[in-house]
Amino acid sequence: MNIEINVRLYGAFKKHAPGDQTDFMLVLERGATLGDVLGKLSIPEDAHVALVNGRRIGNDVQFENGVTLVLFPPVSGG
Amino acid sequence: MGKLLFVDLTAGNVKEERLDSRVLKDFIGGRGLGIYYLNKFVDPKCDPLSPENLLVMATGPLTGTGAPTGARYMVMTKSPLTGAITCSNSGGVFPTELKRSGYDAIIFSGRSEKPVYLWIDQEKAELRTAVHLWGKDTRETTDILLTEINAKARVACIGPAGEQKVLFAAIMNDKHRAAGRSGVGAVMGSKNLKAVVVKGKGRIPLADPERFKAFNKEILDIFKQGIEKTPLGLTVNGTAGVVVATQNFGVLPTKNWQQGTFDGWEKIQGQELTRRFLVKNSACYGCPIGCGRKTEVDLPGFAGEGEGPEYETIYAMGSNCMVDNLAAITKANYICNEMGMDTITMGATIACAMELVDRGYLSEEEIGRSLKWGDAEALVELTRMTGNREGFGDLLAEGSYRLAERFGHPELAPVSKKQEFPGYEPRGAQAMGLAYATSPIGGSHMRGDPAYFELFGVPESMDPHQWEGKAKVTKAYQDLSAIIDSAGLCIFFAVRNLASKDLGVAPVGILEYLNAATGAGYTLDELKQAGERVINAERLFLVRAGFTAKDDSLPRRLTEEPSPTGPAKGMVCHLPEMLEEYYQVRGWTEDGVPGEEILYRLGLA
Repeated sequence: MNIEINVRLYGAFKKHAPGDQTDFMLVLERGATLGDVLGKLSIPEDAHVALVNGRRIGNDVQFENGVTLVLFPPVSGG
Repeated sequence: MGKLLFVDLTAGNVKEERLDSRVLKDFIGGRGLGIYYLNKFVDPKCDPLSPENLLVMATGPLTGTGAPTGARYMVMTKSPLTGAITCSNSGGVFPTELKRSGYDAIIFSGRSEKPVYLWIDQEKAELRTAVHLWGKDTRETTDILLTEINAKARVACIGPAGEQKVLFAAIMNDKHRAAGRSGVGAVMGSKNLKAVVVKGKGRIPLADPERFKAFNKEILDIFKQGIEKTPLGLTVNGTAGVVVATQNFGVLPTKNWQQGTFDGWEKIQGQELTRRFLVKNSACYGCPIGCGRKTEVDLPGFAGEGEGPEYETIYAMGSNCMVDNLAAITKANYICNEMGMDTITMGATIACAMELVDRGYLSEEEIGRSLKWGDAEALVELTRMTGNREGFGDLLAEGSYRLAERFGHPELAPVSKKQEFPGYEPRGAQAMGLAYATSPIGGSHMRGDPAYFELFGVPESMDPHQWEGKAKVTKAYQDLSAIIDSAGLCIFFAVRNLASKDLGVAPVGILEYLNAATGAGYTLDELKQAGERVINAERLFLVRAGFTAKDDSLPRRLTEEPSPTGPAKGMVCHLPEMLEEYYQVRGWTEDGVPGEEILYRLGLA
């Protein structure tokens, strides 16, 4: 059985979008992890910020159906 | 061994003194040296704008040495905005040139009868008339001084805002770099000191050049390998690149701190700045990052060129005022640089005025123009008026707290100790609230920046919504920042590359640099203790100035009103819980006063 999540790519990660849209739905197998999504989108596993509901998630976290995943490159400063 | 220059502006003379090696080891330099002399010579209860106050400009032992980002100096004084200590930090090239001129620090006392500037030419220092410069902005002042003295000299100066004692006036160096916060420029203006011009010579001597060079290569090689794999966000989009993070964590202060998300954020983010206005990056002396932005705007009403905006400016003048016009934000930034003003307090004060109008506490007649949320033209116009204390700008020049208090609602000012916050909302980033409340200079992120562990994941991440256990980590970052600021380094490089890769952030890399540069022979424990000593010495100044635990506070909006939007929706900042734990880990009493044991251990008893 599959699930569907909303993915939003920002900054330099926009170029990793599979189509024209940087805010898109992605169909995954149930039990798919952040690591799987990063692999699908060719985003480095150790150099990204991944947020669900404003909280960081680890690469082994499995997605719930319907969540929104935000991905952007590491930033710092201020 | 370094030297100190005392400048008595009342008498109009200068004299130099050798720095005590024991004091240097105990307080490191920079920020540490500043608080040492303020505690020694300044009555904490003095009027900050009176001749009794001192203005200290101090480099650190790594300033100008070639250590990466070793480009900083500290301006320390009693602040007219807060009444507390302040330490305002700046980079560029001026600090390196000051150190090359033969002086590690300058202490200004008294008040000159007429406007003067200080000219230091390779250890020869003299005061000269600045009557012809009074009233001129910081760019013009710099150009005139470079033409009439020496084109290769470096200038730090105030603009009209400092002369007119705008309470958040900055000291600008190299035209575009600012010791921005807490009104250090107003103190300089109160002393009738328009500028400091320095010309140095040669290299800065190192105790063990071979050891220094070898370690420098090691650190830079690691840094270069890292950026080959992943370009540094700071280099690509400057600090403005942080907007995407704060928005998506729900901590981008918006509408005078009413909420932590801004619908127009994509128009004011770093990528847009790069795409639309960036001319090229600029870097401070010895910096491999280059986060500075040389920009140009060619749009009617907002045309200009200069540097900026930084993330903090974008939050304060952008989302916080609901302004999504990046050209207007950039223009207002240029005006702040030219007039010599802090962009954070300027933007936050205008946003506060917008809320006062919105709620009917302040009328547009009193302002003399309309002032609605998102009004880009008002942002630029009011910034200009503030620099000249013109019309309503005279009230804005007092900062948000005094403005909101005047109209009966001080709770609407986004301040701690009367200084406006930088751009991280503590309801969604709990430790930021603790850092703001306990910073010795009031609302600030640069005296220990929890954004590193709550948002950026450097070196590790802690859940930004959690408050348990945050006090201990915040203390570690504050102690580290005291060492960074005292050594003459920049937080942007040092936290990531010169501290241990755990939440204890031990200053392991700074230790090696300091020992190679100075021969002081610090152990890691001694250096960590020096950081704590600086923080406690600052706290003692505050205690003597009359500050108590009740001043370690946040506006009730952040501790009582649940955040209405975004990932932090429904949350408040749990300051009281964190504060109790914080005083314990600091060894302070429940009244926030350093206890006997810690003072004895640090040699401050």
